Amino acid sequence: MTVNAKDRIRAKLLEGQTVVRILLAHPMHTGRGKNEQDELVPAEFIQDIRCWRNKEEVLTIKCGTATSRNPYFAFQLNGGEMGDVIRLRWVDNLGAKGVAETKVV
Amino acid sequence: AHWPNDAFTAETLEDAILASLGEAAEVDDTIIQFTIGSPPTYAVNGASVPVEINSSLDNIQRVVLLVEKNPYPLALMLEPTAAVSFPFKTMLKVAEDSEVIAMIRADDKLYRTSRYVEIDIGGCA
Repeated sequence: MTVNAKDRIRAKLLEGQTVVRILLAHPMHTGRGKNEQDELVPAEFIQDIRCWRNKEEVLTIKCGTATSRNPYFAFQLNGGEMGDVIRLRWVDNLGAKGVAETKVV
Repeated sequence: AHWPNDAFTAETLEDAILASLGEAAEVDDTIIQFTIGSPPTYAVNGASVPVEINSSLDNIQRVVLLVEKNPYPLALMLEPTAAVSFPFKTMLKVAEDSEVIAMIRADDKLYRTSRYVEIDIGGCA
């Protein structure tokens, strides 16, 4: 299944902290759900997400099937300044990949 | 990418904790908390239950979120660097009424907090 929606990432400077919010577009099938024809939908879920600030890797998130559809994450980075590049890559259990990038505002 | 299959497919809470965090002494401390109302004690839709954790711990090696009654309890594993600080927010699927647990491994000690969440419509489809 192709997903048409786009991954979104926002980063904002707030009281000296960089607040990062991530919304990925992914169905996150667990492998236990069924479709309208009562057939099992094969598992398809994001396993690994890595985030960078500029050249520095800051966070790794590993997901099981219990992460909601269209996964949402929010976290903070210490310090930071406007124009920092926040970048993330994700990969799912079928090998599909995605990247998203934003600048801190 | 390396994905810890044994931890994510462990079927009991104890196995999932052991496989994801390793063995370490558990410390009774309130330094890790859920935000009030996130997760809620009662959620209508188990397919996306908001969870927000807060902690002022340093030297965090790993953070995990677990849902006890899910088919595979381990939901999420974080490996933050010193640049990352809390709160951390996300949404989880919760299959049925269950304890939602957050654990942190820092300085080779384990910290835990949990909250019982009641679910109206199970969210493991």
